Amino acid sequence: MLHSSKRSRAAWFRYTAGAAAVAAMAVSLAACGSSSSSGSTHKHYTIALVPGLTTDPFYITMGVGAKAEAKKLGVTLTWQGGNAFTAETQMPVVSSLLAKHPDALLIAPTDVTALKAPIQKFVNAGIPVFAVDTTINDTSLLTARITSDNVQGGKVAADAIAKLAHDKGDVAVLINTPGISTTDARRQGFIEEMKKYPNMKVVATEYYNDSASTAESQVRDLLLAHSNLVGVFGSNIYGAQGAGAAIAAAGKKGKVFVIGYDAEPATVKMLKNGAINGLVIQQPALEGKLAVEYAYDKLTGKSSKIPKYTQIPNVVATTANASDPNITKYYYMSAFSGS
Amino acid sequence: MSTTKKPSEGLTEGDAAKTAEADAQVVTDATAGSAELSYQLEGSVPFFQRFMSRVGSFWTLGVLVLIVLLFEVLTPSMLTKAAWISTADYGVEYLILAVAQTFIIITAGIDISVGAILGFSAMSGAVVMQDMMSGHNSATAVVIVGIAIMLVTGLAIGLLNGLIISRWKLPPMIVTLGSMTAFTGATDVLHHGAEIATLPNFVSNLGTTSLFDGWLPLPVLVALVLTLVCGIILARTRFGLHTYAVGSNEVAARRAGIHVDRHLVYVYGFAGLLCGIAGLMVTADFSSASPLAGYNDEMYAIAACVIGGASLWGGRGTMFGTLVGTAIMSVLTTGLVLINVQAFWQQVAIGAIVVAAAGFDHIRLQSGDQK
Repeated sequence: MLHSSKRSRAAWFRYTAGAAAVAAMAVSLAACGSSSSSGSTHKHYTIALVPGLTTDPFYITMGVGAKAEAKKLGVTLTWQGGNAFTAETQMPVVSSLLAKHPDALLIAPTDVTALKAPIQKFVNAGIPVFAVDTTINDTSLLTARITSDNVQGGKVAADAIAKLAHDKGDVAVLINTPGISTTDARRQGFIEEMKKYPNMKVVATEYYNDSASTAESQVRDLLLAHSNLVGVFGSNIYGAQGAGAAIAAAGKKGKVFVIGYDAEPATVKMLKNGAINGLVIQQPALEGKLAVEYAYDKLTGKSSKIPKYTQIPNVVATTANASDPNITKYYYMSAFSGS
Repeated sequence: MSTTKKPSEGLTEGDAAKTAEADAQVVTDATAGSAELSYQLEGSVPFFQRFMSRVGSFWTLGVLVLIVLLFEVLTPSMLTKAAWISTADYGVEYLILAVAQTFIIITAGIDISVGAILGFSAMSGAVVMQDMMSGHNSATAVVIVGIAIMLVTGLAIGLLNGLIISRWKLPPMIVTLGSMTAFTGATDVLHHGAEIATLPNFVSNLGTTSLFDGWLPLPVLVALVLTLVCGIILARTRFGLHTYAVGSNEVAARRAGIHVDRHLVYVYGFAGLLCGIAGLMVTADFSSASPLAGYNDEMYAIAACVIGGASLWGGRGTMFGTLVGTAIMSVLTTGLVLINVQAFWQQVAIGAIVVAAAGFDHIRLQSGDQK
């Protein structure tokens, strides 16, 4: 059996070790204080850019544009985000960034509702917030918004499909997930424009959850269900990739047309070899550049120069002009090159 | 050290009950007193092993403090109010799931459906609330019914898990794998894979209200209170004793008169109820119910328990350890953002810590003559 003296010695040691650890933590907390005030002087600004996700070429291109502008203006740009386009991965990043108290926050919110609370905290702390690409429900919290003209994007996609299909036939729309402001606008623009073509009909809307393989199986099923299908509009890269793959596998290349969105390297390759017939290309680098520029204007007291809402037009590429240097300069990058 | 008392012939019911109590008491002594037992070591045992067994289960707390201080050195923003709030908010979901998982792991079981139960119960409540909000229902009624649905759904799924595991004697891993898959899909069915953002103000306020000038967000308070209550249940009630006993040696517990099957049903059911509460907290935090809620959370819940000292073979683990395990994971997430390291490294770090924690516990308990 245990001797009571040994037991009490062990217990004493345990409790002391625990108490010491807690005390150390308390002392450090007290010493360092709870200050979350800005450590930066007003000579050198730090701007935080939180993309939808850090691995998507669209956002990387935005980061490249932003970094270039930041370098030009002499501000530090930090790049931090989740590794998936979900609020679950983005929220912890945004909440933690508040502790670093950047001078401005540029963010592509992954959810119109969920990101409102963390953005509110930034605004309460006096940090201006700019939304790029996507947005949140309560735009009054934002100093400015910059996005592509997604409705126009949907419209030109509809026109492109109609042209390829000679204004006749059924079309389908593939959407990432409902509730994202940008893709909802693209769908809206597409369906509105389609009404101008009396011999064309939108027969289906599918949600593919940002997965190219889901999109592929959905288009495969669509091809079986609708023999008159002539066109598919993929509202972002994964939709277009999946659709292109399904159409090629079904041997319908050249009979069913795919218009995609965004010019990632993989999608561009598919455009060049005809698996995808057209691409609506956004200008993320320009979005990033403007975001940094407006943030800097806000920080240096020139807020009157900032437009509240900027919509940037899209560029359309087809298999025909895919290698034209005027078009290729808009293609997205898959990595940051150098500084 | 667990003793298995073989009941001899002619044992009366009263004796059986007493033996059960004694068995459970020995098990509890074993888990709580591992440090004391280390004093029986001879000098031939290496210093490191003796040191580890003396430090006891507080070594994980030491690791947590070290990590916090390390981040503070690397970036001055770690010990700030905002960092604390971010860490605490992030940990709410994982803490409640880990608390649920602790009970289950101590019974030598495992529940990989905790994330799916969270998601499904949250979405169920949200669907009902959204429905009721479009009708003529008072806000209070909507909130009460919605929250009740979340809790009852979680409880029901948990009970289902427990019934299948105990009645059909199937391995918990398989049963909960089945319910995880089924209810992940069912969540998508509930609202066509879309999220629900029209919720009563009470729910979103729950996520944004905080006490003490913002230092204690309500969801954090709820999670901490739950941890405390469950810790007391585990350490100081018959239910807790039986949990340890069942995990330590199910056959002995059964022979000693504990209704093991019924107890397992209670444990899994209770865990499901906790998942429902976690679902409510997540919905409040995001002001919306998403079909992705809870996805992959079960792995972090298990990691938190293991880091905290629970053994997957059952019979060992404490709520305090689970709290520290969750804290370590949350601090890592916040800290890595603050030092501008990409999110991927968080998972790498957690994986390494899980293995290290299990390894240290093994050494520590080996030297204390544990199994």
